Amino acid sequence: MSTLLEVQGLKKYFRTPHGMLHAVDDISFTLEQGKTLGVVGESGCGKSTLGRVILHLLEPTGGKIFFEGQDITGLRGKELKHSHKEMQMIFQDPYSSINPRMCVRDIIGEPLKTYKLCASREEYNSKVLSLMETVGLAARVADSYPHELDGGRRQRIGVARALALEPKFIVCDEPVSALDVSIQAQILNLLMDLQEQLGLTYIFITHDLSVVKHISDDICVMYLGKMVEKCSSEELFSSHLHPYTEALLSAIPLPKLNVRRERILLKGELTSPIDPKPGCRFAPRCLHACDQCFSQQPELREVEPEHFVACHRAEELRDAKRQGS
Amino acid sequence: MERTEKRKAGGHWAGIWRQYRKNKLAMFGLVMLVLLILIAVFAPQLAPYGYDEQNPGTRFLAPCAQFPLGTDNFGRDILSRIIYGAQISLQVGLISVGVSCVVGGILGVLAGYYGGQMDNVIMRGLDVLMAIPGMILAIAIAASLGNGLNNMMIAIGLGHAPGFARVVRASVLQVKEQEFIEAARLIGDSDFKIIFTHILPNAMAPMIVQATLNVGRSVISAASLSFLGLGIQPPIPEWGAMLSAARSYLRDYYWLTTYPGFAILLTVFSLNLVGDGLRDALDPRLKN
Repeated sequence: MSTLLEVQGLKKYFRTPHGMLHAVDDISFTLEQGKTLGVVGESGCGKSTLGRVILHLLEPTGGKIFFEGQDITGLRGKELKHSHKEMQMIFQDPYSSINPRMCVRDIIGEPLKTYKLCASREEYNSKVLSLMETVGLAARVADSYPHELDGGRRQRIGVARALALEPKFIVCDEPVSALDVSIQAQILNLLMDLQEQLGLTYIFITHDLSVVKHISDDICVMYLGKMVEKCSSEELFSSHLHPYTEALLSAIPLPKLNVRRERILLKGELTSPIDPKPGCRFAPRCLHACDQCFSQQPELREVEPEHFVACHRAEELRDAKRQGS
Repeated sequence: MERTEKRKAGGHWAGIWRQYRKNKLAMFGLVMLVLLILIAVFAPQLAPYGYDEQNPGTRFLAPCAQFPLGTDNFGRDILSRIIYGAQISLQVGLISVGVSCVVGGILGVLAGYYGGQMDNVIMRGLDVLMAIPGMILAIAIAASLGNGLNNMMIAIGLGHAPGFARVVRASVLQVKEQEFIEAARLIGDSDFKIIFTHILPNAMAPMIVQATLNVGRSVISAASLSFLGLGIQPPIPEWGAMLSAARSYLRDYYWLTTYPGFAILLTVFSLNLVGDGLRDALDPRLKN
């Protein structure tokens, strides 16, 4: 497996009247071809910003992005357009992510026109129809307008449009959060099937942990712009180490009656991401915080093979947990 | 199946026209507008008298068989003057609104789409212009450009442009935040293409309303400018000018002001109907 995407020390700060807002702060990871990286975290933790920075919708404040070994950080003009061909996005809200004035055919076909990929009208039509077939849209809706379709089908339009340029890499920004649960499963299965058929690589951004477990190979947990834990999907659900992950996972509802389990309720609000204080950003809400946590920022460390955690007390907590169980 | 296949048959504009035709009121407005334009074009053939035929013997005649809409203080036939006046008034109304659409539209789109410094500079500049009453602004522009119909239309158009720019900016700002604009940027669309294919079609409704309402205001502004000697000079008839010239006789001879006013009303009304119909026909959500 070759590395498709590599991100090094990526930063995105926003200037606000009160100071610098650290939306994404020093994030690094690599992503292998054909894999899915799930990004989870609560609202405002910078996960959508991360996706948008990688796709050049926002300029990074610092850090580097490598795609297929090439530095694509500061691309402009033609080169940028070329890189967009390889990297696409599926948006959260299928109601605002497609232009209500265009019919389905034109929405899906617009990228083909922009890149002049079709020599004739017939070729264009057949390409659009085959894209629609790929994502499971009936050919008869080609001339419908978005308002005539339900959320699931609209999201399929979004997927078809993202696939039109035959990208290698797609950022899925909460693609199922705005949909009904039954439709969520359809779209998730569609995305997984497409990955298998076309060898796509995904970054899958979500706040829904059961969704991310279903689809991801690796998962990274973000808190206030920082990556706090990154490991494989199974490992995260079985032997997570960061106290924030612990709290996050204990919030998943279990579909079982009569099972009482301990929930970890976090106290307090998110601290402000504007000019954050030194030290661990999670420390004010952490049950295990010690003095060091308030003074020194924990680095992301490989505590176990392929398991990265940003916590000073990771080993301590791990050992305590092993003894307890 | 049948229906969806047929829908696209005649291309984009044919589809809009089909949609427009279904709206009876809009069709009525369009017919009236076309009639008004025909009246303006064929004024010399249609008018029973010349617009400047004075006759001291027929002053202030009430509407009668010989003068269907009465005569004015110089004994001129009001119907003929309204018919000839359509030439100037329609021109002034449509062209000066065109000027403010283009100037205000461009400024509003630039301010709304690019935001930041560009927005600040443009909007503060327009604030300065808006602080000056529209009429005074138009007078200043007309005075600096010199006399004449063309300059007057430019002056009125520029005078209304700031208000138009505000409306455009507001609706552009609203559309710009939607995710489909980001999606368009992601497939490499240029700013130009994003503005024309994604933003403007979705931001058009308030612009159309503003434009149709401005036609009436433009005709009235033209009258005021003419009154101050900066526009059309008597005896050339113009609806607004007829209104303002006759206002001192309003108490005794209602027909001097009523009929030119009615002509303005008819123009604005039919343009409003056309504008509303256009707005609906362009919106696929209102298709039935």
